[in-house]
Amino acid sequence: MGHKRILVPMDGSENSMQAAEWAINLAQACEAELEFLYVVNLKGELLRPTVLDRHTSILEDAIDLGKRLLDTALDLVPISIKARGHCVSGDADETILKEVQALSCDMIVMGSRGIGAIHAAILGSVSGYILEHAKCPVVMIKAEQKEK
Amino acid sequence: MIKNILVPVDGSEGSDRAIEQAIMLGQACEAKINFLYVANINQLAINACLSDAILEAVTKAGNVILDRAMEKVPEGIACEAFSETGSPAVIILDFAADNDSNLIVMGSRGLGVVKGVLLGSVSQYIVEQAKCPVLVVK
Repeated sequence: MGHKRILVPMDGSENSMQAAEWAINLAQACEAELEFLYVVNLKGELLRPTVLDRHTSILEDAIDLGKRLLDTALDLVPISIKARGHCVSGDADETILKEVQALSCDMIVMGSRGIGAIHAAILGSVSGYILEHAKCPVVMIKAEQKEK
Repeated sequence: MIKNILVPVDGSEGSDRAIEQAIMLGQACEAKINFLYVANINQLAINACLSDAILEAVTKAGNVILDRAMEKVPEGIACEAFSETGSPAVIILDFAADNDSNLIVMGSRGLGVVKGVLLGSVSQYIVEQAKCPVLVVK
């Protein structure tokens, strides 16, 4: 019964951190496990071997940044909850959907809008894609207005 | 954290799954569940004059759906049923704000949706406009 494994895609935005906090609370209530996912999304051009040879540091930097973000999230998790971080390279939307399956998650918790979203768009394009295509329940966390 | 869960119901399969999901979370989080049925009078009003008989029938249909939802909730979990009339998306958002809902659980598409569309218009609107987290059930 209940959710057993929750996927939390992270992108370094404040909104994705809010999603992480919300997921941690839920995991505590449901005794679920957490899988934090950071997708390194270098555009195809950059990933061509010839370019990468000269710019390996770009990829390394991106992976570094991802790992640091994942660590920040993992640090928030109480010891009683199992949690892991995954840094994966690819297209954000497709990678998230792939990892839901690969990690057998039964729920996705994510910010309604990430870093890449146009300011005017209320729902980020990645969030919108996931919402439409995910097979499992998806929780959209709103960017919190600065008030409490 | 989650203290007040709002579940808009419309009798569709998606809303049935949302009810189950909400009950699961209500149990885990010891939250109260509010079921809300919105009779979409705007749509019905297209048929010009609304007779009392039609209104009554719609209300009755809503009550059946709400009763079914309430029956599914195990003892020990607080729940309440509400019936409103108007445009579903607007009513749902107002209700969430007025009742301090901190999670809305709903199906990805309700009854009125064109086949082939993955996310219904009401769900889409709620996800975009709600101030609280929204759980969309597939």
